[in-house]
Amino acid sequence: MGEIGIAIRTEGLTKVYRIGIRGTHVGIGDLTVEVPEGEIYGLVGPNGAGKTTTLKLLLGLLFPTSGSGEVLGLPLGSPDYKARIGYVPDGPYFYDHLNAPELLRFYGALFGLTGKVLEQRIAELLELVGMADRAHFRVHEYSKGMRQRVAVAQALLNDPDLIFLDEPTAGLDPMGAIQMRNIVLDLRQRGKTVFLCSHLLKDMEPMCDRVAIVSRGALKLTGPIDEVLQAGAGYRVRATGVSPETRRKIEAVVTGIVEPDADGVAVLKAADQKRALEVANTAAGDGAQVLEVGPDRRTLEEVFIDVVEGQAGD
Amino acid sequence: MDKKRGAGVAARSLAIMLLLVAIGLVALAVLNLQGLRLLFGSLALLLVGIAAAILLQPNFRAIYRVASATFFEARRRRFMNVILIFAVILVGLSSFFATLSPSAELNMLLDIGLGSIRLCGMLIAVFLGARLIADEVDKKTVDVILAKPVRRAEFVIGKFLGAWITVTCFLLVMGVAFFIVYQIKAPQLVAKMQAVGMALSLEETSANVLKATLLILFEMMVLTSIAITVSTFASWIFSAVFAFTTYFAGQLSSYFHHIATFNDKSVAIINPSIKMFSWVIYRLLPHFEFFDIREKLLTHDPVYWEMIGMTAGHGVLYSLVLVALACVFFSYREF
Ligand SMILES: Nc1ncnc2c1ncn2[C@@H]1O[C@H](COP(=O)(O)OP(=O)(O)OP(=O)(O)O)[C@@H](O)[C@H]1O
Ligand SMILES: [Mg+2]
Repeated sequence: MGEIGIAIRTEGLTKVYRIGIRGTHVGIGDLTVEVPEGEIYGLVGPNGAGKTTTLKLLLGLLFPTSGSGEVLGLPLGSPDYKARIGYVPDGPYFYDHLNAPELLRFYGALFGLTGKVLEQRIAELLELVGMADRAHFRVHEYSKGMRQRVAVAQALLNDPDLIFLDEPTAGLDPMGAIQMRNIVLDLRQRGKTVFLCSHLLKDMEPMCDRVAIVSRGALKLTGPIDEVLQAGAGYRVRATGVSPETRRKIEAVVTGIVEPDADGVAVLKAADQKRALEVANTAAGDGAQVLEVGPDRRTLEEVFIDVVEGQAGD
Repeated sequence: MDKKRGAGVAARSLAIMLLLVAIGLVALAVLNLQGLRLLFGSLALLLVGIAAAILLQPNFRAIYRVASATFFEARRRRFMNVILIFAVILVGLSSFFATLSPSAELNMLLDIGLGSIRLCGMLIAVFLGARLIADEVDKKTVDVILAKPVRRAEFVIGKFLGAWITVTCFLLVMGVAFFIVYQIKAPQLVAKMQAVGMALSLEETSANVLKATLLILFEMMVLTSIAITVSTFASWIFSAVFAFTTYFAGQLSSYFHHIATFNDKSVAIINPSIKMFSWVIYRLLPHFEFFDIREKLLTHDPVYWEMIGMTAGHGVLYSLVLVALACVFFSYREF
């Protein structure tokens, strides 16, 4: 059919790993997704969910056990789309003995880039990822974050139409993470498609146009981010230090309680604004600190926890 | 678009024609018309190569890049330097034997010198061949490369060429070292031998040294391709062990031939299945003993260029088949 505007399409894509002689393990099972062109697509899931497996299938590094897929309209693994994509692997590895420009020269040559054009591009990219002043370091002298930065530069050499990023902010300092986000947003600005894998939900939420949540090799939920986070017409109160006593008092008013997260923030839900304020007042009266009262738009983290723990996520 | 298709069809027809001519040449080579076997054979090989390039349109730049990266990376491996130093010492040592007669001394020089070049070349070829691809897979550097527009076969061919270029440079260094030693010692020895009436010319002996070194080069090509091919589907250790085993079995290939064709019932009756097995082994094994012409050098038998060419051709063909297999195996690998 080949609709215009779909960068990646998979149909029941499945990878079953062999473990030992008899054992098998589903890396990713029956994945059917469509990634529209020009969007930032986030594939999120816990460790071992099958994110990297999916990426490698899309890159032709792994072969599907069943199902099929297309990248930029070409069948999986075809060398023809590789000139138009970039790939930032998880925990990237490079030739140890080269420095950043040498490494980029090597990869650039694989894209058929040469001479002045290539040198110019390398200088630009090293600047972009903040490695220009450390260009002479050899890879084995790099810190983890420096490797990650070079990995990004390497993936952008050919000005790809579609870029795959596996845990792109892993190992990056806060500045690096912000630069990373700006690079990704800039790519979208220029009409490129970004396929992002991560479990750093807080980083993903503001960036992604569309997400897919996978867990234990299965696709749990997919859709535009607004739809995924939409949680009806209710209101919510976010607060820390909510005591058991408060809970007992508001039991009749709230429609649900999300247990405190790592920062101790609990979410108390109510049907409308009036009830929400009532809840907030009660909690504040008992010494809790109310952070926010507002319409109930869930965070990606909440949706994720719901979905992964198997409680139907809308 | 149509024009492009037309060009594609034309290119394909050209390739097929070239292949047909190549088959004809191979037939002529087999018939050995006027002793031009070598010429026909190499011409056929060249045509097949061009046809393959037209049909498959490999990305030569990528192959070249992978090969040169391999070469520069291999040079940095520590074991390479260790073996190289070891080899140069061995070659130097070959000149320290002052024995009874000049003839024995010359033989010692040739035997130890060429022998150490061969031994060290073999170590390099096997370890480099076995580890090159395995290391890329282990260190996951291959992931990024294969996500680039590089076909897997191009990667394997690049690796193979890089390895062979490295081995060649290595042999060159050892060859030069040996030649220096040889140039110092041989003229006196040959002069002494001529003085006692032995028919022997320095030029011929020198040419033979060159021929022997050339053959080692092609021998190492075969060995490298064995190691690389096995390493595309097995661990590098298995691959190295396999390559060594093949190498030593290949030294004995005529022995297998002997068993396979043994027919003297008065001496012994050989189980037909063993015969069959030996025959298969003989056919499959690279005949490494043909690459070793030291014995001919020691007995001062003539060594003809045609024989060198045939043996080298055997090596090239064998390597080509193996590398093609390696490409196939590697295309099924997952990372
Ligand atoms: N080569 C392999 N052989 C066997 N099983 C594998 C292999 N690679 C991955 N798996 C399994 O497949 C599942 C999915 O792995 P995958 O690497 O895709 O997870 P992930 O979502 O990328 O996780 P993470 O967030 O930790 O990177 C895991 O359970 C893992 O154990
Ligand atoms: Mg992963």
